[in-house]
Amino acid sequence: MKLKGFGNRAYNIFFHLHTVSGIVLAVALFVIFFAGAFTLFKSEFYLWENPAARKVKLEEPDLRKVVAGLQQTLTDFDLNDDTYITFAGPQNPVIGIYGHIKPEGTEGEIHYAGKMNPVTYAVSDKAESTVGETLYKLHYFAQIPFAGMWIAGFVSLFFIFATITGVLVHWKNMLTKFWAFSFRGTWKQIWTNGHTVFGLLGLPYQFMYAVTGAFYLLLLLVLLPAVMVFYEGKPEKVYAMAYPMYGVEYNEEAPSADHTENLASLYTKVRERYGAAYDILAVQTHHVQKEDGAANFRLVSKDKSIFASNGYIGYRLKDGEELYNALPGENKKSTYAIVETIMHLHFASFGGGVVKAIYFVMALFSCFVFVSGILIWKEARNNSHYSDRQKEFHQRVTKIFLAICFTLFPATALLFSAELLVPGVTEHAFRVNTVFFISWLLMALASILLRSERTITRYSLWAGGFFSLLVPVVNGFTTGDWFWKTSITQVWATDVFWLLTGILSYSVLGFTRPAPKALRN
Amino acid sequence: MPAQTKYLSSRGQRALKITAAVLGAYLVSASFHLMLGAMPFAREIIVVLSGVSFFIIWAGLMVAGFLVRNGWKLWGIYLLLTLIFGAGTWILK
Repeated sequence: MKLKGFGNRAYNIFFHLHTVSGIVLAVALFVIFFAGAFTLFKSEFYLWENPAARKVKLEEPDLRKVVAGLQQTLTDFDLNDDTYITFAGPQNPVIGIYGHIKPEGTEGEIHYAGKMNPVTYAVSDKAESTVGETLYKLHYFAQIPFAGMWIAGFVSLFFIFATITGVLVHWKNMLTKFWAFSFRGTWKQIWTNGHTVFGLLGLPYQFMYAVTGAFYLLLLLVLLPAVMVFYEGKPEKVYAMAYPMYGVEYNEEAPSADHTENLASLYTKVRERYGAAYDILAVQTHHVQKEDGAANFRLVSKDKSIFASNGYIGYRLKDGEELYNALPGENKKSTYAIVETIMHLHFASFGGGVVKAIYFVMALFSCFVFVSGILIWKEARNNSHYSDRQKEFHQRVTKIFLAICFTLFPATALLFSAELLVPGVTEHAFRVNTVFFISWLLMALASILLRSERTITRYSLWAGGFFSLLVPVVNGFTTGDWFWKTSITQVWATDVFWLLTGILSYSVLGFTRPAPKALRN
Repeated sequence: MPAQTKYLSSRGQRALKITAAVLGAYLVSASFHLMLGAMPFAREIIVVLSGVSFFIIWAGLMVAGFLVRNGWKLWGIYLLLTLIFGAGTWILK
């Protein structure tokens, strides 16, 4: 069945918009989706990337010791400003600290992000390991100072644009092309077909990511007009609609009082009351050393059948008065649930490992859509309407784009090995990142010098396969936790994933043929 | 085959349309959401939902704008819409 198409003019305009936005975005989107795919499993492979964490024996957290640890190491840590403490869990046995340092006698404040050992309560802002963090940051270009997040944000916005124009281009044949896999015809036909079919099948997924990505990175542009017009320039009033903790009121003039003991006993109270049905993820505190201080707990239901599973409870520290109580199914405002839904959709945090695995595969399908788009762009221009110089330009751009995209695979595999091989304590994360980015750059540059797209693909498969197979070997030799010996699921699963990826990579390489002699020039 | 160029705009028109798509469509989407949010009973839900709908409308208007033949006219339409929604916000607030 065919839908009614657009007129010639509209069709050609949509087509051109899709081509131009697509070719500009393709590489950025490839990097975002590829790095993002691994980021989905960031907390799952944490135990793999940080061998010291594999041996940690978790105990009940003691907030007295957390506060004492902060005060000892960071002299000017401001417990009266917003402090966010995430608790250690079996998968991530480390306490996260986000807070503020206010040097004595100055007006300014420094944002502090660090990790605390859940046994010794020693705090440090030098990460023990970095793979998950590196890929997480890469997926919104956070390594580019200031501009990175804005670039990624506008990539998301224009990805919505490219998705809409893509649908409009294929409007007429949408129903017939829905499942029309085909491996017949010329390469241009195969790329076009794959691009259309995977683009259509992945449409809800890609559209969701385009929108939620823009939500996380460009929210400021959305809220700015509303905050100015409706909320007297106070953004916390908008945040309070998403998270009740921002609605708690504090008096800056409140007298001093130390509530550390009460904070610790409140945690125990929350655990006793809700511990059976909920995991306690984090606590946010404000004015811990003032009379009107409060603690805001974030819980997540253990009931797997609940989608919007997060809950929020807040207490005044001085007398334990309950300020609000928003648990799934009880008093939970719909605005909280909307923001939480966006988070669950974006981070695949709603259906366990199966959903994450589907997301991972869909992300790689999306990468295929971006690459096939580049190839269609080139092939569609490989005809007598274009001069040799133009064709050479298309050829060169395609090679550069493919080189950047494809060598991210071996570089990512190498990143995992580098984590365990590169020594150092305070400089460790920096060095591992250097290895990752330099190796990516060198492999991309080397690929550009190769003869054709086919050789670039084969080279990337070969290097990617090699570094993938290296991952379990490096883990075995450096930590002794060979994947057939270790009992930690996250560790052997990561090893086996890379082992299978390596085998798959070499199998695909076996199916591809080297470029025929006639094409070599 | 790439798109046929006879249907595409000249350089100056293109610049007008691109600026209208990015900036003009932003203003329309912003003023539209302000108008909806101006109704006190719906404000909270509109402001929170705008985190999603703002981008969809912004990008949708970006696409639609390129169908208008004259870039000046497009800017005119977007500014007029912004003005209407702005006035609506002021009345409803």
